[in-house]
Amino acid sequence: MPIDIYPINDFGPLMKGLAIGGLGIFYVFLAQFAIGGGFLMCYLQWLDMNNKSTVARAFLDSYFKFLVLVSFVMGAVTGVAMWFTSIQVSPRTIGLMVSSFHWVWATEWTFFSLEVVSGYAFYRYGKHLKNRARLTLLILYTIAAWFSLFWINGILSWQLTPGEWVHSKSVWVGFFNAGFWPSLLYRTVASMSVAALIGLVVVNFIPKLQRSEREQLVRQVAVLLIPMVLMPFLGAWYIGSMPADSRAWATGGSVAMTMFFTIAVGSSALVGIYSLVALWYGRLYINGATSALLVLLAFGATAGGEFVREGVRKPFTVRETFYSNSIHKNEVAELRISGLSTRPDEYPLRHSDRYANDQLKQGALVFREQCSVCHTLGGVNAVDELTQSWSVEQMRLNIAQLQQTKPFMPPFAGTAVEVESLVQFLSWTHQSNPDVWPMTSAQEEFGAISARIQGYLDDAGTEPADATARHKALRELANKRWKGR
Amino acid sequence: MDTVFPFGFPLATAFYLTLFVVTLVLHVLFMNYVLAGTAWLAWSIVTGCAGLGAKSAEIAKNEPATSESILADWIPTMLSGAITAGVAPLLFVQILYQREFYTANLLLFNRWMSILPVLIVGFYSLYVLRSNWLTRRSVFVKTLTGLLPFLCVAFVAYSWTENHLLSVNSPAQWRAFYAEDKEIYFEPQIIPRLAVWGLGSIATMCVWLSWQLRYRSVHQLPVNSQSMAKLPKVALFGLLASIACGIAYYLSAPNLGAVFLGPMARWYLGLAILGMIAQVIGWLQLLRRIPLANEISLKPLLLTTAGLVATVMGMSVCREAIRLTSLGTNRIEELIPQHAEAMKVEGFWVFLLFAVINIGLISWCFWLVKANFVESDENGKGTS
Repeated sequence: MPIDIYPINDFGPLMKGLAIGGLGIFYVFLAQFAIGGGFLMCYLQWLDMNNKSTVARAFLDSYFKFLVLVSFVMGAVTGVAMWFTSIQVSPRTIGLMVSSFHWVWATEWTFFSLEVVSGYAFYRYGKHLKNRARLTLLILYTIAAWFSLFWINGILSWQLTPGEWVHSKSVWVGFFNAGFWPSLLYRTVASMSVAALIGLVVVNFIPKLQRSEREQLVRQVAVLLIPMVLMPFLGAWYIGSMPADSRAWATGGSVAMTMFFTIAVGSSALVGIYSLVALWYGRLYINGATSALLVLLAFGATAGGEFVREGVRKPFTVRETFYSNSIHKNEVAELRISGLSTRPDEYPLRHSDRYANDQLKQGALVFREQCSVCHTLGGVNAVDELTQSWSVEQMRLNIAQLQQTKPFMPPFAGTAVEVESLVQFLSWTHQSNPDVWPMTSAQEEFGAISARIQGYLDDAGTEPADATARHKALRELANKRWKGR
Repeated sequence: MDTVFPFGFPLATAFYLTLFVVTLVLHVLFMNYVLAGTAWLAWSIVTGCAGLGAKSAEIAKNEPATSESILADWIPTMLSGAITAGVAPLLFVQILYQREFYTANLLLFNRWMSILPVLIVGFYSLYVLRSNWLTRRSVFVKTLTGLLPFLCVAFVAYSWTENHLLSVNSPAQWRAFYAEDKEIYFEPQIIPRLAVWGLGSIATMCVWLSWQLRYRSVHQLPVNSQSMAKLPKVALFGLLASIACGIAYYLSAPNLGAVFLGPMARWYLGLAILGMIAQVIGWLQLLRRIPLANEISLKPLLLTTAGLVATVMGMSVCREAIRLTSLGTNRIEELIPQHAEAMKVEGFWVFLLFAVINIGLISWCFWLVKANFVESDENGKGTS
């Protein structure tokens, strides 16, 4: 089957992963609020019906308005935005996800529809309904919201731990993967915590409540923070379910990912300790500023966690299938012969007059196709800065043997000529893009250079570094950093 | 492509095409309410016919409901419905035309992604329209806020049409578009095409509004009789204007006649025309009866509703026939194995099971509200 070739856009100094990561964090936080909000409202409605709270009902109606305004509006739009952003970053990956799991997505849609209908029914008519009907609508809403998480969680965790799906292509093998249950349970507890923390903010903003009533609500809302005691165990289970090399990324292998992992753990710990010790055990009151600060910390924890989840898949977007640059693992061998930049249906280079010669144009094309999804020129994770200290020959060797130079990188998927064009393009960039640049491909020794690069490519092979090598390399990096300290 | 839609295609392609069209119709019914509704609200606010603020949202019990007050109250919910209903066709379009859809998204890049913040602004401005805050603002702010939802929704509608038309270009045209570093695509048929759908949305909104006004009058809630009387006139205007634009579109696009009258679409074009005739007859009956009976009669309303569904269904298939013809036989032949592969994927029966269960639960939600509605006391506590 022919490979679909897509146009690639330039995100300027921004790394493409940041675009999807940034939106993803926002979306996940809102989705968690919507799910946990259901649990909280069911609990408060039950308290009201059993005369265990005098203010639960007033709070419930205010909170639900807030939930609709924030979560329904932003959540619905950012949910669609996730799809569109994924297309911008990696159309082939999202294409595979849709093709492989479209019935799972369609099933999730039926739950999402139930969530929206039951939610709006409560929003519009809740005040005029009998208690039992109110509770029933809230339970339906909560079930629907949680099942939305259930279905989407299976697809997201499959990206990192597809397991036997790689061979069997069975939807259910991929769906109920090693990361499914720990991720689902962790996210469920996180959802309850986020909803409770936002609830504490809302408690402080409802007008006409006495201090004693606010205190009562704080204690009742804080009950949903109790499951946070499970978070360390569920988190450890989730981390344990990751492949060892992916885990190593977050535990010292990458500075950025270790930092975000620490933010996630640290923020969660701070929220958890305050919630359990001060709010639940100590029965302290919490004001609007402190509760808002806790929400920010929870957002930090979500941001850190989602960044790590996106990042630890390197060098893949779907493990053992698609590399980060949307090249399939099985296509590398063929691209080593046919080349990537010379495909007849390739999109042309934009602003090609900016480059001093044809070899640089080809190098720019290779950069666009193979590197630009994770690297920029002069921006975030800039490849010209990462290679600044390498000599030309080092660049030839390191790029041709990319998966050995850095085992978390994919193998180079192109010909020796393309390696050389990329090397020249990077050298030209190091020299601030001069108007005149010699073409090594026009020089006599080019045959020898190509042969040398071909030797490097052949030595490295077309397979990625195996997981053990990736793990080992990352552990070595982590150890070096600790020793450096 | 030489027989009636979707029977000229292999099973898998026909299956996904059918799912796509059926879910698209559902989305269009919600979307049309939002598009025409925001336009009506904008017009009413600019001309000073509509009140703003909480009164227009929470329709006061003793105050007769107008079309404007119902629209202000319901559009945010219906927009949510449009987005929710839009997820399914968005999923199936990725199965059917993955390369085409993704390429158009990528080529339009920032221009395409801008629909997301615009949609959020439009969504929130609908809630602002219902707030007391707005009643205290200047005429300029009120007018701007009144126009904002329509401008945002119209922008999104325009963008979808632009994206769709770019997606049916050839790969050579895509490469040329990419090379020029453009992010805006235009071709002359965008305007008449958008006009057909945009003006056609007026009739859809009028059918929805008629049911909403009828529901209130059946339940002894006050309804503004002028609003009821105005609906058939507005619907007929929308229908006739849409037909006129349809004829202009038909005449301006040379290949359209061959597609519409070809074997794939001709029965559906007939269905759409029959639907329009049914709508016109229904609306004419209502035009005569509403002033006499001061209510929206059930039978003509059922006729217009059936006509509307037939028209939207027929036109949706005609739209799909244009796309299939534009892509050409060779491309469809390439896509057919991909659809067959997609159909082998497990999970359909799970989807069907939960679809049935959740449709049942959604229906139960409506019943719960209907059967348990009680008057509220000051504290919001329900009393039977």
